[in-house]
Amino acid sequence: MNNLSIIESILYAVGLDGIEISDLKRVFDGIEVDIIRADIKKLQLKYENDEQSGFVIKFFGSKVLLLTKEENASFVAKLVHIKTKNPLTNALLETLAIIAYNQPCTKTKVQEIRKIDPSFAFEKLEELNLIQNIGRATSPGSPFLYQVTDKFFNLFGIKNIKQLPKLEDINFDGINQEDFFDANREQE
Amino acid sequence: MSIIKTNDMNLTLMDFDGPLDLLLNLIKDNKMDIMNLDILSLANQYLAYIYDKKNEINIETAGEYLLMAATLINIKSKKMMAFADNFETKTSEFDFEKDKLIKQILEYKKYKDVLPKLIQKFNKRLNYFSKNSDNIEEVYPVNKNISFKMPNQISIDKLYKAMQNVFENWKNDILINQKIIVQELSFEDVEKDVIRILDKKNKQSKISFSTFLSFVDPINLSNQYFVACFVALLELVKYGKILLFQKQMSDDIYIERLKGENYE
Repeated sequence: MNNLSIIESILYAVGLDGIEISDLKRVFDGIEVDIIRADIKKLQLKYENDEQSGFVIKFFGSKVLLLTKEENASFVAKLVHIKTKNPLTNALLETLAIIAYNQPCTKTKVQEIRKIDPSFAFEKLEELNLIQNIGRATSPGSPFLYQVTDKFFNLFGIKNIKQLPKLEDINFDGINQEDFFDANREQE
Repeated sequence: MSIIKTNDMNLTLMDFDGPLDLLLNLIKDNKMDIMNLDILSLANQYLAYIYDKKNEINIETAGEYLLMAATLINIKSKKMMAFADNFETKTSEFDFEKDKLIKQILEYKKYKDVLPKLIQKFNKRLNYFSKNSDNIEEVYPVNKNISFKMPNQISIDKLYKAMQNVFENWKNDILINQKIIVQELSFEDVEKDVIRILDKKNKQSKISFSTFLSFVDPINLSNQYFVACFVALLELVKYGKILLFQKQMSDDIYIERLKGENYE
């Protein structure tokens, strides 16, 4: 039996649920996670190089998924209509972004940045299974810590936090030195 | 003072995602430079906007906007005090507060600016299609020969999800097996009950209402029975079968069986 073939079949069967490598380990007795991961990479490369294949393998968080190729999207969409409902309002998206960039993140952190009570947004995001509670911080009051879930990575099509778009770097020093610049200007 | 385009568009506070969003909009509409922000002009515009909307402000939903208004008033007052009092210390205090606010705005703007990129990612993800999972319980044969291999270890997260599934199924089972029993009571039946109990206890000719209820079969006792019983008593009084009396207000109500009349 070829492991690559088995993995391919499993990925097909689980469809949009995807599967974790640790779960694949249960299928292959005694094979290490690293080897399974390497096999998946091999399969991924195979699809990538095969122009005649319509599939692509993607990692979203801890999940591995078999998907159709992006460049075929316009053709697939002609026959397959997928209705997408985006329940994320601007406020929810903002909150989600702040959690993702600061995770593990407390409610207070979000409140500090948005200056608005985030309780409702947290509740909603937890309900949508986009964030999860991962315990308490050791800081005073031991507030709950939250991080984003695999569903979050799936929703935005990214593998991990590192793949999030870069936040603009803001040089806060510039603001503090404003006095200094003002003084210079006066001298001129 | 030019109270901004936002006013022309008839926006309400609900259209903003918090006070910082409103401040950012004011800055954008007035083409102000955040790094060289004229904080007093911004404060005036913010306060004017809030004042303009004072009728639609609901303390519960707009508390944060009012808090920001108070912060801005605080900054403004620091600037004014600076002229009146010890100029240097007050000026630095003003600058400190001002920088703090600008930092907050910039920090918020950082996340706000990244949203379009995230939405772009979201839309890009929609180009990948997949199929529904075949992991659907209904299609498993009842006598399945497939045995699932259990993992050696499991993360808390997965355990939690598994337990959630178990509870969900359990709850569904209970709901399926539960029957709602509707007990129908007719006044005639209850009236007969009343007479029966009164006749059984007719050594004393009268009996208090609470003692009466203690003789009723406890299985029957429900709000519904209580109401039916009360109506039955009133019926019996109406037909002269029993007598109800009370010594004082809020005293026990006594029921007396009127002798010499048979109730069929």
